[in-house]
Amino acid sequence: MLAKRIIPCLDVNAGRVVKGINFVNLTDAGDPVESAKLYEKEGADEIVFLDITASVDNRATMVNVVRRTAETIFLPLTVGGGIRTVDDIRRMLSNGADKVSLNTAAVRDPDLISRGAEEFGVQCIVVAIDAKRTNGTSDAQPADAELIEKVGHPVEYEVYVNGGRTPVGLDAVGWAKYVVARGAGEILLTSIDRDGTNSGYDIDMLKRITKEVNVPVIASGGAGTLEHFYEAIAEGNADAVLAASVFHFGKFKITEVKNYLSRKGVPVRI
Amino acid sequence: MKVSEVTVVNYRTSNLLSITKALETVGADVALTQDPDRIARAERVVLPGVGAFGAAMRNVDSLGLREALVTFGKSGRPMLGICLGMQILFSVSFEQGIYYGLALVPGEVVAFPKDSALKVPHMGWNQVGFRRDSRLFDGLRDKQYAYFVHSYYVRANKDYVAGATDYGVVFPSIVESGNIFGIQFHPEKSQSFGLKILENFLSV
Repeated sequence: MLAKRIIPCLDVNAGRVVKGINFVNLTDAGDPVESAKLYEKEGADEIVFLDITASVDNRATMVNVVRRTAETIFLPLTVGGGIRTVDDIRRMLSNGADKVSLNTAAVRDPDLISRGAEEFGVQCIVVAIDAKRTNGTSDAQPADAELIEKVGHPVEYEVYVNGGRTPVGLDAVGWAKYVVARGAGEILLTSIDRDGTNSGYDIDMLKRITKEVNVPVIASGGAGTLEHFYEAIAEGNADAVLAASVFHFGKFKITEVKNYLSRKGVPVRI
Repeated sequence: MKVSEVTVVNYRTSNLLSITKALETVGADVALTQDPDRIARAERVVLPGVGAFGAAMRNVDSLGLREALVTFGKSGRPMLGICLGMQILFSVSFEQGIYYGLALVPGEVVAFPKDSALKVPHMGWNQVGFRRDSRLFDGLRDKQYAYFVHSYYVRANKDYVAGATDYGVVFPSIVESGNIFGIQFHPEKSQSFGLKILENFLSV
C-alpha cells in the first residue's frame, strides 16, 4: 500500500537554514545539507527546501545547496521559492531536485504550470497554495481579472502570495482545481491562519480541497502534536504532512511521528 | 569495495545527477554516453529515465542507439533499466499512442485505470513484494518501501516478475530476464533499500 509521507521543510536564506535547529550531533546547524542528512537518517520521506531569499543574486547559492544535497542524500527533493520561469525549473531539476514548488509565479503567470508540466512532466510540478480564512479582501492586490473570473472569488478561503503577505482575490478551492487542470501534479496546501501556531492543521480546508482534486495534497501549517499529523491524514485526507518547527526544535523526531501513525493504522514507511 | 565500470546511457530524457551519484556511492565508476560504440564495449549498462515513452524512443532512434542497446541486451552482460528505462526494455507501450520499445523482454506498458479512486501518477513510497529469488535482493528484506513516480506500468508474464507492488492493480516493480533487469521505482531516491539494489546489480 502507498505510504503516507512525512516531510520536513527547511527554510533557506542565502544558503543557510534560517530557523535555529536543536539537533544534537549536528556539526553545522546552519548548513541545509547537514540538516537534510539528519532528516534522512531520522526517516524523512522527502525533503522540501524553501528559498526565502528575496534577491535574485542568491539564486546560484540555492542551486548549489540543491546540488550538494542531491549528491549526498538519496531521497526525493522539492525546491520552492523564487522560481519564475521554465529555465528556473530546468536549473533546479538538472541539479538534482525532483520537483519544484510554484507559488507567487503560478498566480502571476498560470501558464508557467502548463509549460513546466509539458516540458518535465506533471510529477515535477507542485503548486504551493497559501490560503487564509477570508474576512473580506479590501487590501487585495488582485490577480488578473480573467483569472479571477475562471477561478472564482473567495468563498471561505482566499489565496495569498509573496510568502503569505498579499491576498489576491482568488478562492482557494477554485484555485486548487484550476492549477490541477493546468498541470500541477501535487498541491502543497498551507494554512496561513495555522502556520506557526502549533494548533493543528486546518482540517476543514484540507477536506474541501482533497475532495475536489485527484492529485496528492500535502498538508502544511499548524502541526504541534502527534494527533495533528493523524487528523490531517485521517480526517483531512492528506497524502502527506509537512512540518518545520516541530522537527527543527526537536519537539518530535520523524520516527516518533511515524510510530504513532503506524499504531493508529496509517501506512507509513518505517 | 571492488570498482565496477557502469555505462549510463544519456538519451536526453532525465536528470542524470542522482543516478550517477547513487551508483558512485555503491562503488561504481560511472561513464555517461550517447555513443553506440561505447555501449557496445560496455561492461554493464544502466538505462535511466523520466519522461514519456514515445519521446524516449524517438531519442534512442535519433541518437542511433536502438541496435546497440538491443545487441548489448542480448549479449548476456548485465543491463538495468530504471523507471521509464525499464519500460522501454519491453515490446510496446500505449502511452499517448502506440510505440515500440527495445523488445528485450516480452510485455506491454499500459496506463493505470482512470476510474479507480487512486491518484495517478502513482507517487510516493510503496512496498516491493518479492515474487522469487533475485540476485538484486541479496541482503534485503521482503516488503520494504521504495520511491515510485509513474503513470504507466508493465504487464508481463510472471516468469519475468521478481518483485511486485500493489497500487489498485498489482504490477511488476522489478523484472528480470537473464542478465536484464528492470526497476519501476527510483533506487536513486529510495535511500538504503535503493542503494543496496544498485550495489547488488554491480555484483551480477
